[in-house]
Amino acid sequence: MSYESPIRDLLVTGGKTYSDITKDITRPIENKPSKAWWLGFGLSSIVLAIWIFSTTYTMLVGLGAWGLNKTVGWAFDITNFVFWVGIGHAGTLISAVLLLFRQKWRMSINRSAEAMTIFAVLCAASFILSHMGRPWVAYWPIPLPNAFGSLWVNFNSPLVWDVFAISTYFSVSLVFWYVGLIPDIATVRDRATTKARKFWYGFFAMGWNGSTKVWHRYEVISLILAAISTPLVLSVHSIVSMDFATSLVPGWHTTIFPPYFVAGAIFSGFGMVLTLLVVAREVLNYKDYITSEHLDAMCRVVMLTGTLVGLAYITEFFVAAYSGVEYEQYAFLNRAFGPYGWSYWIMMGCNLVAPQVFWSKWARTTPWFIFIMSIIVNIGMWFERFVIIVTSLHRDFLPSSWSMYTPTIVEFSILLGSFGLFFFLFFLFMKFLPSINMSELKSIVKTKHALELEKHYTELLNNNHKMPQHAHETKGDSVHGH
Amino acid sequence: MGYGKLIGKVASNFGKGLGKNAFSLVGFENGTYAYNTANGVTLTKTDDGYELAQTQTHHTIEGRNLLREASLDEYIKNPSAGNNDHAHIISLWEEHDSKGHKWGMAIDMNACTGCGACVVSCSAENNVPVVGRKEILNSREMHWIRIDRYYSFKNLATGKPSTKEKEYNDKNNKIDFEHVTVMHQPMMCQHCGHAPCETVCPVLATVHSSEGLNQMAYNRCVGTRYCANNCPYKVRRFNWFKYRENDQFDFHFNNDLGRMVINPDVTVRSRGVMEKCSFCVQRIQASKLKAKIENRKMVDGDVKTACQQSCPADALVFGDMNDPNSEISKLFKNERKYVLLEEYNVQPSVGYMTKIRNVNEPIAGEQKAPAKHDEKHEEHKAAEHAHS
Amino acid sequence: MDTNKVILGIYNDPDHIYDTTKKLIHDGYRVRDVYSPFAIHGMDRVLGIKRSRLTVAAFCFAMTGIVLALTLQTYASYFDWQMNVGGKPSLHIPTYIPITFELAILCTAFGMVGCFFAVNKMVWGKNADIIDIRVTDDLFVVAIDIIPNKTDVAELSSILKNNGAIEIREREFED
Repeated sequence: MSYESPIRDLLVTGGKTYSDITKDITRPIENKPSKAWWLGFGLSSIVLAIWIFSTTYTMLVGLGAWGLNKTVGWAFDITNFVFWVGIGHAGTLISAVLLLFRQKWRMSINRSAEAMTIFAVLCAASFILSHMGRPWVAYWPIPLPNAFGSLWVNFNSPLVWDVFAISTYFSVSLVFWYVGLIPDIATVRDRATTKARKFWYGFFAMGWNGSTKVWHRYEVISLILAAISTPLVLSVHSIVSMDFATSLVPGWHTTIFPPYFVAGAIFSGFGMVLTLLVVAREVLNYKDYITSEHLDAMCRVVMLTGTLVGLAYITEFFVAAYSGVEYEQYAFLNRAFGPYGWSYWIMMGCNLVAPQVFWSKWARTTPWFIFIMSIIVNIGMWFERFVIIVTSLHRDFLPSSWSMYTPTIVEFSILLGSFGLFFFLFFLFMKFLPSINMSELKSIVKTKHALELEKHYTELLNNNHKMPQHAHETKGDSVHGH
Repeated sequence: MGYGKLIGKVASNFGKGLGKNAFSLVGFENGTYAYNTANGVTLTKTDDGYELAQTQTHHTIEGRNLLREASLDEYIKNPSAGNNDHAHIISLWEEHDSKGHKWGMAIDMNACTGCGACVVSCSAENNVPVVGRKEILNSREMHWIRIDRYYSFKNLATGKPSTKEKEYNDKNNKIDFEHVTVMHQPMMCQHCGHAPCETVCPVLATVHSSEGLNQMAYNRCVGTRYCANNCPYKVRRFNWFKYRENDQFDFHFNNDLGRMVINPDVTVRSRGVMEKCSFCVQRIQASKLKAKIENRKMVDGDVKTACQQSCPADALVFGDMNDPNSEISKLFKNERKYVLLEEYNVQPSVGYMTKIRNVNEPIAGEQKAPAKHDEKHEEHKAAEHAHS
Repeated sequence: MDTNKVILGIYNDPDHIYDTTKKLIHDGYRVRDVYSPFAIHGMDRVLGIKRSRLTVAAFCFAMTGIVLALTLQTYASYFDWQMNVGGKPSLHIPTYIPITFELAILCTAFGMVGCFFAVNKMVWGKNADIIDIRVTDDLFVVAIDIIPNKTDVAELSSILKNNGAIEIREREFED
């Protein structure tokens, strides 16, 4: 058995047994959907309909339905694309990076986070499709042999790198998520009472029966998938950032973009994870699995990455000033004090200033406050992409082409609608699949033997007056140990 | 003052009437012009506004070194007056060969009067769609060539010209708004050797020809608009709508008679693709074919772009840079020649010539004359010898 | 396999089954497999399962991905149809790196997981050979081969019971 230090706080509270875990997590699947679920799913469906309508309208009428013009060629479309891809990165970080760092607190949150990644990447891909002038030939950036003499693609272009990066990211996340699901699907299969459930869960469980030989290989590939997903997190958003960094637009052309975007992605992704889980743990009664320690840890990540992003803003500004390049200097002054200055200060406020509240323990462990902050984080990160794209484009080298950008109702509808798409998929996930990794959780629940050991050590410490009362003092700081 | 168009012309839109007849404001009585009161015209103030549709909404150069000028005296003393700012360029890779033709254009800002004939002829030659007032207000005009017009005013407090709009609003600056200076700069695709647009197109819709043209393959474009974002000169135009057979754009593309105006040598672009100045590639190809049929080499003047052909001041000169006898080769060796954004090393094929004004006061200011072209050449040769 | 008959010891505590299995191996019994709702830490070592060669497979797939990506890109941009894009040379190796990296990861993930399924004989729609319906819930099962004329079933059963088995059963595998 793995050695679990007896003085560490429980990651699963409430004295849960293996059977409790199974019952709690399969309950939403086996019971009829609750009123809360119907409300959420219904709302999401309506908003999804808005997305379908406005995207179809754009494809039929033309991109003229949006507010773009000759100077500002990208605005809401690419802002939303980068926004959604960024959100996806938290899921992969939780699944993969925290696995490599042996952070066991990831176990109750990684499946829903990874599901969030998959749905977020789908939303991002929808923007790629709808932003094209001719979406019916959207497959042309993929290098496939063809009848045009085999006309290939431009491998110099960051958009082609994006094709590979986003496809890889989506596929690998899907595979990692699915492989992790197999043992839990088997659990649902074995408890299934209806014919349909037996069939479908049996189908996707691929004959899983809990054999240690298979578990061994499963753990090996989980580790390797985690090991390759980690550079994937770093590389995918770096490649997305290079859509901007490799261009020569002042305000885009800066080498800080790859690390800055990755930090920002993790920041916004954790924001979205917090938004989802603060609500889910209340509604589904998962407070024993997603404890306040989990929320605390996630808030610390939010604060760290938010500060990193703020540091990147200051660095960008400094380098522009120091460079002496008048176009760069103008770009940054215009960002903060030009016609879109209001969006810049929203961004600064939400991303650098607001997360500093998480220095306070109260802030990190109060769910309703965390929920509000997570919304602020996402608003801030949306504005960051808006600021980068629109303020840099609308005033560049030749002042004769300076113009303003105003979004239209169609663009707002598509943005809103993408949330509909996301939540529609997420509610389906919550209904039909176990949202917490049961098998992993069971491996960290304290066994009877470990609980007896803990009792034994606590008694020892109480009886021995010379030793400091360590166990009690550290109660509050358990997840991270010493 | 113009006359309002009341009678219908080719397109039905014209029948609606454009503009108003302003001659009613002026009468001729007793041998003099009588204003306002003529013909019982009255003026009343309304609270209505009318937004003017402009293709350019920012009118100053903001102190950027893109418009170069000198006074005549300075030019006589030093032919490269006002044109001493040159960038030091390093190349990371070996350049492609440019044997054969190498097309380029020289634009003399001294000759350009800003009349706009080039814009009209380019639009006619290349089937550039008319988008109408509403789309111009949305900054979506389709003109492949435009004439940028920049104003500057003197700041009487400093005695220097002021080109920053921020300074105009500052009350401490005594801006002399009574005397305006204007510069006209025709701007079209610069056909850059290191085109930033080509690098970023995902589907190879825009690549470089062996003759130095930046090519645009309309039927390959998927419309990501990355090329337009990356163009520092903002010369690329996107087809936001279907501009033909579309009642929303009821101009000459929307009826049979109007479509007879279309140049059959040039593709009409569909919705969702990018377009831009092509150096009238259809004319280049036609001239090459003609020369081939006549079994001779091309000579300077065989091919004229539409803008060059219609310019009354001969401000636009197109030609083969690889032909040492062509007019453009000579113009490119001129001390007044510069390129825009040279420091970004995009290597434009379009060169601009400094404007020389016949005024008394100095414009370019005190500048050291740079090393002459020959001296630079000798330094370079010496360096080469040192290496070998 | 010379026998398809096994004895199953069913437990509800992973520490008990861990200790039992260790003892059984030490005593020379042939443990076919242990079934659990989660991977018991150290159980694979106890059972003598060698480190999976999927790691080697992963490396090979990564190399495949790299070769595939570089071949595709150099063929398309240099050997097949060269184009002048922004004045850049046709063989532009630095720009090949992002795609090479991504394809290496893609090939690794899919190849390795495909091998995983193949080696475990896992297919969609496969009828699972369920040892005990609660193995995926909260019970642990150790399956020991009953070698005819060699395995003392009674002794085996007592070992299992003494180490905390809540149930003992016999089963026959269909091979």
